[in-house]
Amino acid sequence: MTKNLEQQFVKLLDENQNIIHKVCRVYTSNSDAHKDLFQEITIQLWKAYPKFRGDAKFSTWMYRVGLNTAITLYRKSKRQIQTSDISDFHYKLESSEYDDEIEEQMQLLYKAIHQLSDVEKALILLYLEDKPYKEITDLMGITEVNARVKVNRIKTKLKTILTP
Amino acid sequence: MDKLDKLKSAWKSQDYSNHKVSTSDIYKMLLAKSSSYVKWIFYISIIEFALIIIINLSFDNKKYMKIYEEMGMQNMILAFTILSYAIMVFFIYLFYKNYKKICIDCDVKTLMDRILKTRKTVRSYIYFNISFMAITSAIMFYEIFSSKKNVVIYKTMSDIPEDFSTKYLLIAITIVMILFIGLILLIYRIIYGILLRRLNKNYKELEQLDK
Repeated sequence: MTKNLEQQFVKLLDENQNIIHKVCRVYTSNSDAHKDLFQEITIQLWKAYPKFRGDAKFSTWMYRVGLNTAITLYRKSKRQIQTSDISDFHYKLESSEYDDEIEEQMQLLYKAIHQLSDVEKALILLYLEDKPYKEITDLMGITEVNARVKVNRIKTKLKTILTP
Repeated sequence: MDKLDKLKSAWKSQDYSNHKVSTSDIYKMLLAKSSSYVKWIFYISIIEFALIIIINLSFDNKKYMKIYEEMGMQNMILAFTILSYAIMVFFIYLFYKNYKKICIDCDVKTLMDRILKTRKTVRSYIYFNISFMAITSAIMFYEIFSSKKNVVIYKTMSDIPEDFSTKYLLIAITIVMILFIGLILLIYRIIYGILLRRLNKNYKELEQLDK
């Protein structure tokens, strides 16, 4: 692979790395596992990049490879099983309009998401990212009606957890 | 606006810049080795094919052929050998074809489907081999035990006293064969179960969604 292709890929990945972090944050529960999965997704993206033709947006393609890696290809590391401490891996909320309560709710939301199955995690991640249902069905390989039904069920599940 | 909708906008504004991976670290990652599940599936499948080839070759020596010649079974053995190798080549071709179809950038369900199909090829081959082994052994032992001359040759070859009851010998061979096949199936089911547990669970969940 040419140096040019590598540079182009690294630039795109660098601009969109928030997507990988979000996938990792949903599928892992400590910072070591987060880093492991980040690396595995990066490797898979790089391996698949020569075939990326730009039919889809780079970010959509990243979700596809990222979710496939997290759900199907990634072998959970021992570190992930041994500890469950994500407090050392913290994001920032971009806008100052979010108060401590929202921050607390976000922590609760992540806790609730970690209790979901791998498939449910993918669906709720795409929903929270505001992806249209058409895109969700394309990424998951299920029908739109079933994606809607499942997302609504997960939402109800999450709301119950968030409103004790 | 409900709680989840409110959180949705907070979700989208998550910023991981404090954990940003530098471009130099990205370059390093590109050189790192993948720990992908598919890679392991590929290696394990190759090991399975290789093991069967090794087992076949270890039984395929001249000493045995000479004994089969004495028993007048050389043509049958040769036919079984050619057939088993032809089928093995066919399965390896199927495995390679299915493996090449695994695409990391297809949808989640298709990817799982293709991985499972690839594994199924190997599993079918293993099951085929066990059945083939059982059937050919049954035919061979039938040929041996239906001729007194062959029974004598077999007993001499196996260091079994000539006056040892042929009936008990046949029962012992059948029990050993059943135990051997049972053990292989058990080990295989355990390995297969561990290897594909998570994938099968996720695939079933996706299939349930579409029912």
